[in-house]
Amino acid sequence: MKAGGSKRKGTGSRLQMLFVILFQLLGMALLVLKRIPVPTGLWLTAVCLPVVTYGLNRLPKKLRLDKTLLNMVLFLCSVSIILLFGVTRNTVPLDYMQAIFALIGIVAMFVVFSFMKYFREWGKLSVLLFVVSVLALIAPRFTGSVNGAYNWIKLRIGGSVLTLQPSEFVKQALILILAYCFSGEKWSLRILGIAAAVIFCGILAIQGDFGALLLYFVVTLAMYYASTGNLLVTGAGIGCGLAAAVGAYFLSENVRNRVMIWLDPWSHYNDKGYQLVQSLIAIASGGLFGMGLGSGSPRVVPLYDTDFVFSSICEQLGLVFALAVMAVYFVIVMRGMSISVNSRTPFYCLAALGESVLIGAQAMLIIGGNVQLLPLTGVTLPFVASGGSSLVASFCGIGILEAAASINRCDDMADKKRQKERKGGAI
Amino acid sequence: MSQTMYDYFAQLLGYVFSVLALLIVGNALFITLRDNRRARKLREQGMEYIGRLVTADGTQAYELTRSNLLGSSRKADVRIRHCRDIRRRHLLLDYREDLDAFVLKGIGNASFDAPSADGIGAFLDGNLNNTFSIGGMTLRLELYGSGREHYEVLHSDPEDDEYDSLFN
Repeated sequence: MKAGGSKRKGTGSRLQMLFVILFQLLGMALLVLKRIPVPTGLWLTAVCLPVVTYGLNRLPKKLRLDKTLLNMVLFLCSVSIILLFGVTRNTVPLDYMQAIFALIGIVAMFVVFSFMKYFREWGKLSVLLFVVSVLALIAPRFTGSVNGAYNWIKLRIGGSVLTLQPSEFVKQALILILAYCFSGEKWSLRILGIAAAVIFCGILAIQGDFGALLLYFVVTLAMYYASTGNLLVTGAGIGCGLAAAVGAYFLSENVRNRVMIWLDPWSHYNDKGYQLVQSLIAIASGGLFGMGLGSGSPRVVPLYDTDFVFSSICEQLGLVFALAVMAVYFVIVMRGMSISVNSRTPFYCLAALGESVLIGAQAMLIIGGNVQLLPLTGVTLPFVASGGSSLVASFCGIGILEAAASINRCDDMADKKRQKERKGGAI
Repeated sequence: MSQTMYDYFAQLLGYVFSVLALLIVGNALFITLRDNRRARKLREQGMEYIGRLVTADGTQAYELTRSNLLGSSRKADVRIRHCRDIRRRHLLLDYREDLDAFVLKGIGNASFDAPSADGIGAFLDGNLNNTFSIGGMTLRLELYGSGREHYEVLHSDPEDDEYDSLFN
C-alpha cells in the first residue's frame, strides 16, 4: 500500500501473473519428473513458458495492454502445452510444436495489435481482405485433400509438408470486414458486408466445413444485431439459418450421422459413436480432481488432442479444473464485451464484439460437443486444442481485442486529464 | 522415480492445479468487475450535464451534455418525439472548449429569433428573447454552471467533417 492508503495499481494482474507462472512451473516440474532423462525440448519449454509470461507482463506501460486478458490467454496456452506434453506419445512431437506455434502466435498478436492500433484505411483493407479470403478458402481445392477434406492448404517446405487451415484466419478477416461494413449508417455497405459473409459461408458449405460455417453465421448475426438493433432482419437471419440447417440435415450424410450420434451415441458404440462414447467415459473417469497428469488412458479417445481436448482435460485434471477453464472462457468473453462497450468508435466496438462472440461460440460449440450437449461440429477449443492455424489465428483475434482495449485506455486517460483540468477551473 | 510415486505426486498436484485455476479465474473476474465499475463511473462523469433546453411553455426539458445530437431517432441524445418537423438526426449541439461556446452543427430548419449579421446568435442564459427554434419547437437554453455570464450558439458549416464523422 502506498502512503495515504490507496491501493497500488496493477496488483490484481500481477497476482494473476504469479498464479499463472506457478501453474506453469508446477506442471512442467511434474513432466520433468516423469520423463527422466529429460528431453532438451522439455527443458527449453519449461524455462521459456514462465519467462515469456513474465516478459509479456513487464512490457512498457505505454502499450496499455490488457494484461488480465493476456494472462488468461497465456494460462489456456499453458494448459494446452502441459497437457500435450503429458499425454502425447506420437511420432510427431505435438507438444514441442504447440509451444513453437504459441510463440509464433504471440508474435502474430503483436503484429495485429500494432496494425489495428495505427491503421485507419479500413475500407481499402476490407476489399483486400475479402479477395485474399476468397482465394484462401478455395485454395484447398487446388492443393489436394487432407484426410478426404478440402479444408487444408498443403505447403511443401523442403522435405516436409506443412498444412494450413485458411478458414481459421478468414474468421478474423470476416470480423474486420463486417466491423467496417456495419459501423457506418449506409445500407449499401451493410448489404455488402452480409454478401461477403454469405459468399464465405457458401464456399464453406461446398467444402462441407459446417463447424466453421456455423461460427461465421453466429458472428455475422451478432455483429449485425449489435450495429443496427434490427430484430426483424436478425430474426429473418436466424430463420434462414435454421432452414439451412434442416436442409443440410437432409442433403448431407455427414450432418445426419452427427445428429444421430449426438442423440444416441451408445447404440453406435462400435463405429460412428466410438469417439463420443470414449469422450464421455474419459470425463466420468476423471472425477472431481482428475487422474493426474499423464495417468489414465487419454489416448483411447480418438482426436484427444484436437476435437476432444476438453475430455482429456476432464480426465487428466478433473471436473473442477475443467469448469475453471470454462469460466476462463466466460471471463474472456465478458472482458471482450466490456472492451466493446467502452470503445469510442463503432469500428472497434464491433470488432471487439465479433471477437468475443467468436471465442465464446467456438468454446461453447466444442465443449458442448464433447459432453453431448450439442452435435459435434469439429471446431477447435481456442488456445487449447493442438494445431498451429487455430492457435495463431486465435492469437491474432486477441491482438484485435488488445488494440481496442489499448485505444480505450488512451481515451480514458485523455478524459481523466480533461476532467482534472475542468475541476481545476478551466470551465 | 517409480510410477507409484509419480502417480501420487500427479494426484496431489491435481488438487493444486484446480485451486490455482480457480484463483486465476476468480482474480480475473474480480479485476473485470472492478474495471467495468471504473469505466462506468468514468462514462457517467463524461456525461456531466452542462445545461438544459426548455420548451417555450416550460413543460418539457432536455438535459445537455458536452455533445448532443438532437432529433427524433432512438439514437439521439436529446430525443424530441411527437413533433413532425423534427428529423431523425436533426442537428448537433456541441460544446467547444476552445471557443468557450456551444456550436450548432448540421443545422436543418433551426432559426434564431435574433441572429447577428454574421450568423452568430448570442444566446443568453435563460433569456426568453433569444430563444431558437428547431422544426416547429421553440427552445431556450438554461445553464447549470455558476460564474458563467452567457453562452453563445454558433452556426457552423453543415458539411463540417466532425458532423459527417458522427453520422458515418
